[in-house]
Amino acid sequence: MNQIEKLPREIKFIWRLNAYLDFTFLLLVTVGIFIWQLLAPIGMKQPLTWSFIVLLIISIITLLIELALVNYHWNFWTYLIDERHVELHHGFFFRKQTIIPIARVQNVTLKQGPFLRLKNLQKVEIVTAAGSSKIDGLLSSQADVLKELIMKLAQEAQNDL
Amino acid sequence: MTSKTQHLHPIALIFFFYSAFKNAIFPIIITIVGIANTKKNTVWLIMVFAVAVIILLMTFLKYITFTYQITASEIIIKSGLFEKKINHIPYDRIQNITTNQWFFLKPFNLTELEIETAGHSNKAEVQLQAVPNTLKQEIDQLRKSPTSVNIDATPNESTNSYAITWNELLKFSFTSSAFLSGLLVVLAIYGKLQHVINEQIYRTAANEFSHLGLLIAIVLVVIVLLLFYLASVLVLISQYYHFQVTETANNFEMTRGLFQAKKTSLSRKRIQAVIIKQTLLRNWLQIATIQLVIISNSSQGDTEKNIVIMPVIKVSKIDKFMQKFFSDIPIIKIDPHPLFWTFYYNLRNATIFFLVTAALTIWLLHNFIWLWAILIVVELIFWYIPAILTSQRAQAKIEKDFLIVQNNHFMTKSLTYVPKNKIQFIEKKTSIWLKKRHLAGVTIYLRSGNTQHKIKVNYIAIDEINHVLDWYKE
Repeated sequence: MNQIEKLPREIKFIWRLNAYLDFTFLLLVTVGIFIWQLLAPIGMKQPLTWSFIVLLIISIITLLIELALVNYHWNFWTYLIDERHVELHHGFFFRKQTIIPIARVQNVTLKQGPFLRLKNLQKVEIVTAAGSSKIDGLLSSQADVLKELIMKLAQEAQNDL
Repeated sequence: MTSKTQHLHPIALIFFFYSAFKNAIFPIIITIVGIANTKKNTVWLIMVFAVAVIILLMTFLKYITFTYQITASEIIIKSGLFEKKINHIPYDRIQNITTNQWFFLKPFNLTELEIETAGHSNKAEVQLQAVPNTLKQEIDQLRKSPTSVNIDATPNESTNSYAITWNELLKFSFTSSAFLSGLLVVLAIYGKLQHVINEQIYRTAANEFSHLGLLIAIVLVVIVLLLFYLASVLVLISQYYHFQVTETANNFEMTRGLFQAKKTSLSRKRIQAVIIKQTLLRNWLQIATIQLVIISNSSQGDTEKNIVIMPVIKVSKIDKFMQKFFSDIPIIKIDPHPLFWTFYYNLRNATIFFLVTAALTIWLLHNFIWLWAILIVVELIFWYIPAILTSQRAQAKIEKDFLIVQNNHFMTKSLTYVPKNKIQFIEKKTSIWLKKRHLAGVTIYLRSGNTQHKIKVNYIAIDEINHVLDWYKE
């Protein structure tokens, strides 16, 4: 803690998996249209063939872009947690920096889907009274440390409602 | 001081009748459309009679089943005929109480109470339509009694007050753009009515109209607009008539209204930020509006609505007003020094939007040269003037424990004062291209209503923003 850290390396696997999942979904739709095209009357064949080709190209391009961006996201998504703040940095070309004082945090939500469980990661959502910020994945041990820290500080901070 | 179960004053029947009528209006319209073609008078008579009976029945039943009871620790409201509803409201859960006194309640010494609690519902939790004037004080007394928790250690007993002058009220009402939204509502209703109104009638009316010629049509439109404008001015005057704000013991109380004397109270603890707003027209007249961003758990309709603490005030009097009511807020001069690149980026964005809209206009209306020429001039004004104003006005400054941000939305200038401990979180945005020009943007997130309120400034000096971040992290 107390220094700028990257998300765990395993998150890249999750992102890639998500990219392939998106691709599979699009591909299923595309295949559906292809089958429809085979069964459709002559008049409808041409527009259906075209939409099939366009969809296929779109799904391949999306997959390639998502896969290419995995490393970019991982390299330029960092966070810093110290005794008083959570700081999130994201992006290189367009850079976003978020500062959340722990005293303002209302609750921390930890989420774990089947893929994240596979890699023992947790998705962390830091909720304040004016919206929430996300960290896509932290090692479960780190997530617990963060949770403990915030709970400790939250008890010290006065309830200002 | 436990009172027994009570009914509202019978005059509350007016309110119940109104709400029953409002609930029935949609079914009524549908029925009218349904029987529009029958010419038999008896059908109409039966319909009118049935509707009247149903509405009156609903009104009386609601009135009879609605009771309230004031006990030492809570208010108990009972309502409902088939589904009995009992609502318990402990005093320490009450956030604030608004009183509305309609002119017809005054002679009976009655008033309407709206009680807002910390629950998460969108409407004011409890409405007591016609209760004695003294009930509010009674409840206030019970809320303050030692049985309920009271944190205020040293109540400041001195009373501050400020009222708007007649001159200010007139300026305020005549420079409001509220009539535009009213006009939109009427246009929307008209659009719906078009389907309902008999085709035949509509066609004859349209025919009649087209005979009149273009000039008269324009004159008619202008007259309608003027009428709307005047109506909205009158409404605003009656709403904000005698606006007065008083502060006692860290509690603000706003009183206003001619036909409906409205009294809203609000605790200082719930204030998140103070905003001074000025539209372009009001900027020229040197008047401004002061609003508060507050935490609340209920407000009708839009949850993110700021409370107006002073609808209109002369710019020269603002400093004095702030000193009187918000003595902790530092008064400083805002004088942005816009950078060349600030103008560059704002104007670049305006140019993109302008080119897109202009291209669309020309493409759609290429046959009507005059029309698109006029529209292009309008678009020019619509995109570029806000861009210039935004560049000139953007600034973020720190003074003691306050962040002071000035920004611009369309043509409205707003100056926001936020204490550090009310900022929920901060976001800084930049890009490698902006960084080269030493620019960045910042968004401040506050709590408002039961959602968020964002304050955003873009394309200002990165040093200014880093200064804000350092101050915030301290």
